[in-house]
Amino acid sequence: MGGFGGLEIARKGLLAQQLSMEVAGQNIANVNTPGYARQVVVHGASNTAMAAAARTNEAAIALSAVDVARIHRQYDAYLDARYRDLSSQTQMATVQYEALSKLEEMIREPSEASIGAAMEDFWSSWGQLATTPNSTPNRLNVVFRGLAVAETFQQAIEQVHSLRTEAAQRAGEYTVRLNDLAANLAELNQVLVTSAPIAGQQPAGALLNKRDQILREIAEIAAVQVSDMGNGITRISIGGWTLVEGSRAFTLELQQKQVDGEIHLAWNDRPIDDTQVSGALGGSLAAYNTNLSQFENQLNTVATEFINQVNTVQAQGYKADGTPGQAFFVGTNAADIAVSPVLFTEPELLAASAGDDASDGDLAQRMADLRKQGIGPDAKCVSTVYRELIAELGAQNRTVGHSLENTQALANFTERQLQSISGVSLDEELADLILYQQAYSAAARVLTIMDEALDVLINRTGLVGR
Amino acid sequence: MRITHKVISMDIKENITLRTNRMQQAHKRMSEGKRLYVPSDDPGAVSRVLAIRTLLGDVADRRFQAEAGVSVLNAADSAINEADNVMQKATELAVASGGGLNEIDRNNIALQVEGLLTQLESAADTLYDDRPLFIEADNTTGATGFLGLGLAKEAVFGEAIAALKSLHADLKNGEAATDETLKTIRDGLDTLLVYRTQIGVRTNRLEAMQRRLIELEQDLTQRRSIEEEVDIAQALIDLKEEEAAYQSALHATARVMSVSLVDFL
Repeated sequence: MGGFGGLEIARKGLLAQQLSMEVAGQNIANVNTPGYARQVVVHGASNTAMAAAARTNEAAIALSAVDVARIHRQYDAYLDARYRDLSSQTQMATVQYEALSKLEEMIREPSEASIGAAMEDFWSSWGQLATTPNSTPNRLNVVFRGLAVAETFQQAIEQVHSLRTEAAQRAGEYTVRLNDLAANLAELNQVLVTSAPIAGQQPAGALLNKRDQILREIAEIAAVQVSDMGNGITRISIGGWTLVEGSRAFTLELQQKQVDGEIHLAWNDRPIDDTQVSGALGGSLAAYNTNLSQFENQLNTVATEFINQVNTVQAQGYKADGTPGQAFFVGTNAADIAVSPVLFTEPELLAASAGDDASDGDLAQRMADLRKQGIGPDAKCVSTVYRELIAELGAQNRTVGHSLENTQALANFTERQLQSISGVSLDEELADLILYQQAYSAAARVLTIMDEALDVLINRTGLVGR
Repeated sequence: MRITHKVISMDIKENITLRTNRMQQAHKRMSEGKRLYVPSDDPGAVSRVLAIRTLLGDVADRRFQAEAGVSVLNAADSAINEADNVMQKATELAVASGGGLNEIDRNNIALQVEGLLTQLESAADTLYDDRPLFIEADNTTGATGFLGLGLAKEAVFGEAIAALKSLHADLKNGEAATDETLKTIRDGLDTLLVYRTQIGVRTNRLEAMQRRLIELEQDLTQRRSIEEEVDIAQALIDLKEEEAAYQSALHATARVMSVSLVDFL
C-alpha cells in the first residue's frame, strides 16, 4: 500500500458511510411496507491491515480501514411465530363471532317479531278459543297464529341455511387462497435454493421479508407449523400434514362427509380437525360444522317438540262435529313445519273440546296450558326449551366475543413487540442519516487532506531553489 | 421498548375505533331506550325477559277468561233474577187464587201462570253465545258447561218449574192453590236464592282474581322493563363520558401525529 494507505482508508470510509446512508434510505422508503423488517448496518474494522511500519521508527502499527461487516435484519423468529399463532386464533374467533352475531340478529330475540313471540300469540289464541269454542273467527285466529309460528320457524331455518352456505363458500375461497400462498412459498423456497448464499452469510433481506409476509398471510387463513430448514428455506405443515416441503407444495381441498354433511379440510383424503386448521378457514369450517349446525339442530328439536305436543293434545280432543281431533301441524322439524292445509277452509276441524259435546272449550284450554305445562316424558314446555336455546346462543356468542377480545389484545401486544424490533422509526433513521452524513463529510475531508499531502510530495518536492 | 411511528399510528387507530364504537353504543342505548338487542347483550336477562313474556301471555289469557267468566256469571245472575221475579209473581197469583174466585177468574190466573211458566222456562234455557247457559241433567260427557259454570238446569230451575206446573194444575182443577203448592213455590224461590248467592260469591271471587291478575300484570311489566330498558340518567352520563373520552383521544392524536424529527433538522 505504501503511501497510498491513507487514501484507501478514506475511500473505504466513504463507501461504508454511503452504503449506510443507502440502507437508512431503504428503511425510510419501506416504513409502510407490510412485513418489512428494518436493516441495520454494522461497521467493522477492515481485515486488510495496512502496515505502516516502514514509515516510522516505532513498532509496526496496524491501521485498519472500515468495512460494512454485515447488514443485520432486525427480526425475532420466536415472536413472529407467536404472532402468527395469535393471528390464526384471532381470525378463527372473528369469523365465528361474525357468524353467531348474524345469527343473533336474525333470531330477533327479544322482540315481537321472533319465534318465541309467535308461539306466545299461538297459545293465547287457544286461551281465547277456550272461552268461545264455537266461534269461527276465533278458530280461524288459532289457525293463522299457527301459520305465523310455522312461518317464523321456516324463516329462521332458511336464514341459518343461508349463513351455512355463506360459511361454506368462504371456506372454499380461503382454501383456494391457502393453496395459492403455499405455491408462492414453494416458489420462493426454490429461489432461495438456487440463489443459495455463501456459507455464513444471510440470504437477501428482500426475499426473507417476502417469506415472512407470505407466512403471515397463510397464518391468517390457517394455523401452520413453520420450521426453518436453513438458508431461509421453510417447511410448513398443517395439523401435522406437510403443506410445503422445499419447492413442492401440496394441494389441500375441502371434503364433505357423507354421514353428517360436515365439511373438513383434507390432506390427500385425510380430514384435519377444524380447531387444528384454525385461522379464517378453520373459523368458517367451525361455524359451518359446529356453531351454526348446532343451532340448526336445536331449533329443529324445538320445532319437533312443538309439533308433537300440539298434535298430541289435539288427538286427545274432539272437533266441532264431535269426532276425535286430527293433526294441527304437518311436518317434523323447523324446515317443513306447516299448518295442516285443510284447517284454513274448515277451521271447525280444530279440536277444542275435551268431550264429544262440542260446547266445551276444555281442550282449547289444555292447548293454551302447553305454554306453561309441557307433555311427554320430561313434561318440558316448548317455551322453556326455546328459552334455553336462546340463552345458550347468547352465552356462546358472548364467550366467543370475549375470547376474540383476549386473543386480539394479545395479538396486538405481540405485533407491537415485533414492531419494536423490526419496525422502522423515522426519527431514528434521520438521526442515523445525520451521523453517516457527517462521517461521510469527514471521510471526504480525510481524502482531501491525503490528496493535498500527496500533492505536496508529487508536485512540490525537488523544486528547491527553482 | 422501542416505539416507532407505526406503533403510535396502530395505537391511535385502535383507540379511536374503540371510542367511536363505544360512542355509537352509548348513543344507541340513549336514543332507543333499550338495553337488550340480541341474546349476547345479556343472556341471563334475555332468558328472564322471555320467561316474563310467557308469564305475561298466561296472565293476559287468564284476564281474558276471567272477564268472560264474569260476563257468563252476570248472564246466569240475570236469568235467575228473572226466574225470581216470575216466582214472586206466581206467589202473588197463588195467594190471590185462594179467596172466592169464580171459574173465569181462576182460568185467567191459570193463563197468567202459563205465561209465567213460559217465561221461567225461557230463563232456564237462556242461550249464551249460542249455547245453553245451564247444562242439561243428562249430560254424561263430563262437560261442566260454559266456562265451567257447572250449573244444571234441573237443579236450579227444576223445583220452580214443578211448582208452577202444580199451581197450574191446581187452578185447572178449579181449586185454589193448595198449601202443598204454596210450599213448593217457596222452596223453588229458596233454591233460586241459594244459587243466586252462589253466583254472587263466584262473581266476587272472579273480580278479586281479576284485580290480582291486573296487579300481577303490572308487576311483570315492570320487571320486564327493568331488565329490558335503559336507565336514561345512567345512559346520559355514559354518553357524556364517552364523548369526553373520544374528544381527548382525538386531541391527543392531533398532538402526537404531527410531531417528527424531520421538522427539526
